[in-house]
Amino acid sequence: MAAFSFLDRDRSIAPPGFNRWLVPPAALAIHLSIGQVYAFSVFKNPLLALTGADGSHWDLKAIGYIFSIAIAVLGLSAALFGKWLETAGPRKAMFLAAVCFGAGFVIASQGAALHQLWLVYLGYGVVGGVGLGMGYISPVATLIKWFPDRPGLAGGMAIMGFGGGAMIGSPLATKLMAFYKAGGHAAIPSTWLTMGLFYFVLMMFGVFTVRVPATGWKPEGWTPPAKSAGMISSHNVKVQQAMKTPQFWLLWLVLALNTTAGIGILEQASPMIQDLFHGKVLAVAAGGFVGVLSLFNMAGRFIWASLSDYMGRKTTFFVFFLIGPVLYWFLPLTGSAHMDSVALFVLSAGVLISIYGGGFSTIPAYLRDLYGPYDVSAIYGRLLTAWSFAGIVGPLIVNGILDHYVAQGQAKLNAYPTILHIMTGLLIAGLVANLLVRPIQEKYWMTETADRPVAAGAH
Amino acid sequence: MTESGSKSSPVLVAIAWAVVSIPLVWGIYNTSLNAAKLFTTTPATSAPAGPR
Repeated sequence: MAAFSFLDRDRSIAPPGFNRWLVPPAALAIHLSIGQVYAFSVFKNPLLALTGADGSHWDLKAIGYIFSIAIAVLGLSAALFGKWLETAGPRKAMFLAAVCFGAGFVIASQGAALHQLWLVYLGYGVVGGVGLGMGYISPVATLIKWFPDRPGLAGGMAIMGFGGGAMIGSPLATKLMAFYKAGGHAAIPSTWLTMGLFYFVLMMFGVFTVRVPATGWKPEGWTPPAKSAGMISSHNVKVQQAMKTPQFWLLWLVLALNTTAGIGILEQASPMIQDLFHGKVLAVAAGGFVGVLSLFNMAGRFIWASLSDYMGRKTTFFVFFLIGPVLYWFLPLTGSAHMDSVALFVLSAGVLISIYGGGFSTIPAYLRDLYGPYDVSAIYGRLLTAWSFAGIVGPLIVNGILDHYVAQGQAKLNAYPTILHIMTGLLIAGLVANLLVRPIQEKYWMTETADRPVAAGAH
Repeated sequence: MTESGSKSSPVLVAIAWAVVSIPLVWGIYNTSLNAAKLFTTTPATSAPAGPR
């Protein structure tokens, strides 16, 4: 349709003189919006309190599926549409993400108003989840192309936004619900409508601001490496070929294991600190601990990815998998039964969560190094299935072990060392997987006579 | 956003960063207030800590 032709990739090519520092705000606008998903728990209690016309209530398990569906659809849509996103261009992808994410809220608000849970699943979970998947990859891949000299920093800037999105989403929802409740309105439907509109507008700012670099563009004063050096390739690999390389599956493992371990702490952060420091840390302070972890998570996404530009991606993950197991092993020893140091516990957990966030933000640059920027959206999209995997396996391990201890009549406190030592083992497996990553063999490289021009900044 | 060959205005860059920085800083501020509870909340009772 002609009205939407401004979304075409060709229409979003940056003119000469375009300042590349306009692109990070565009990427951040998308990630700060979709990162709201991590603040979904703020709606749990208000949703439990909703009453249907027949007097029925939703239970916690049914409400929990809303978030799970959204994250599962995120992974699926990222994997399915990753290839399409690369050809359609970031503007079209971001526009569809804005429409889906905003519409998801609107549909879900109707579900809450009518007390129809399936509408909430459809809206926030499925439609919103497609928005999450479409919105997650495109800004990262675009930034990496604008910053071939600093791909780690580029990925870090965008993915830091996803961590920051929860920090905006949580207080925004809380304040909006209080505002509508005080005005005598239905709190959740009105809040979701408002948030849908707010996020749509913020994401549209990203849509209108984003540009792709022109073919052959490179940063002023930057000379691309003449040939592949170490882990950084000067060649591109198509997504179909990338899937055949052992490196893809090794990086899939690296992301899956790092994420699973991080979820081990995130999933149980509040009860864990209260159990390990029984009587010393109460529920309100434990809520503060979750806030501290959010700050470490966001900072880690930016700092580790930026550092990876200097240390190299493989070395950065090597550091993760060296520090991580030590801290996971050490964590239970900080509790009241041993060292009794809340400060050491918080600091160790904070560093571990920064590593969790750093894994997310460093992996796009790792992919770019190995496979080139040509199909990085598509490859990244498929790699994100590791996140979906970890999102299921992480809580299964943690909750499964906790349930087992409780069923055996043992104190929950005794379960934490077991859980954290399993996480230690997972990170050691990650260390091995990362050490096995080697440069991509020449047989997988694509020829330069492709059907689509190689993205600017690639060569 | 200029579509011609002219350079992007630094003011435009500053405005773009402000659009995303303002909500982000607001979010960080709120999270920091919450995080501060870890260091400012003291237990009502000083129950002896020990293995459970």
